[in-house]
Amino acid sequence: MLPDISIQAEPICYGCEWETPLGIFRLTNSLVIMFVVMAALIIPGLLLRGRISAVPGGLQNFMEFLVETVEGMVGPGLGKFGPQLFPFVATFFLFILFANWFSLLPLVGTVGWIEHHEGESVLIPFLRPATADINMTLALAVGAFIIIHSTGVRSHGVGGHLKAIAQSSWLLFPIFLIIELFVLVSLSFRLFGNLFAGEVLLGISGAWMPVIGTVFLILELLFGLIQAIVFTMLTVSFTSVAIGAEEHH
Amino acid sequence: MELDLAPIGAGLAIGLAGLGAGLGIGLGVGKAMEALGRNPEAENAIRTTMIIGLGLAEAIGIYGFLIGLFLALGLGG
Repeated sequence: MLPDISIQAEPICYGCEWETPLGIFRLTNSLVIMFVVMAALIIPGLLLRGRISAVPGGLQNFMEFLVETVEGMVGPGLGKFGPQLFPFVATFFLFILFANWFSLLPLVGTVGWIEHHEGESVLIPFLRPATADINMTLALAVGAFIIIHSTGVRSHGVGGHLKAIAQSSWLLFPIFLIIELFVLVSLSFRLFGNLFAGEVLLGISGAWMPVIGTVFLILELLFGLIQAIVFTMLTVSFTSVAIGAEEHH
Repeated sequence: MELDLAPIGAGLAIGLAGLGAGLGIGLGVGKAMEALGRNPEAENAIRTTMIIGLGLAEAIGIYGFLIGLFLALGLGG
């Protein structure tokens, strides 16, 4: 049977829904993966705290490799806000990368309950990739949006930043504002679309193992990496546009 | 005669979006190759800019794919 392809992530236990002032909070299968990814990223950091040595050992070497990769990508893009914003940007990259790649693990998306809807049985998975949930990618995009615009406001002041968006044409200001808001939509939907498509593809390609299924697995590996890179570099690009083009001579 | 038009709409959505995205990505990478041939020292800058451009162009294809998926699965998109 095919896994249940649903845009909305499913809750993993009955009654795991709580009313909060901001809406309904469900413990969904993609939240579980998100906690796992967070643990995978935070625990090495906590373990290394206070034990940084000049000659790095195994774990520290690996973490330094990750951070230096992100530094290579970001480069001089962030200008004078570099040291402040680098943790955010690096977190975007590492979290999206790990969350994307966790979707390739054996149990994700394939093991779950069998429920009977409308006379046919569908499979509700236990675990679902974190970034294949539109809520997750929207949250990441909102974070990036806040970084971009708060950096713009910090370098030029509120009026200066609005003037930079309007590009000296006040008549067209609403259109430019909508373009800026569309950045939010495009960031979140790009990540969600790529990962959701990959998850559907992986779920179906289980029937085509071994050769074609392996090809799709490798493709998903590549796409997960590319999407993490694209998200991070787009955030850095928009931020450097918001700071202004003073550093380009 | 009752026609269920949703699958046709889904096919059109992904087809046309694929056309646009394929053209955009193909032209973009082609121009990047040309620029690389003319100026091999700027390889890093060219590659970085190309990846950003590819991300933006591919997103358009993804939008079409998502709409097609919504239509085909009857999720009311």
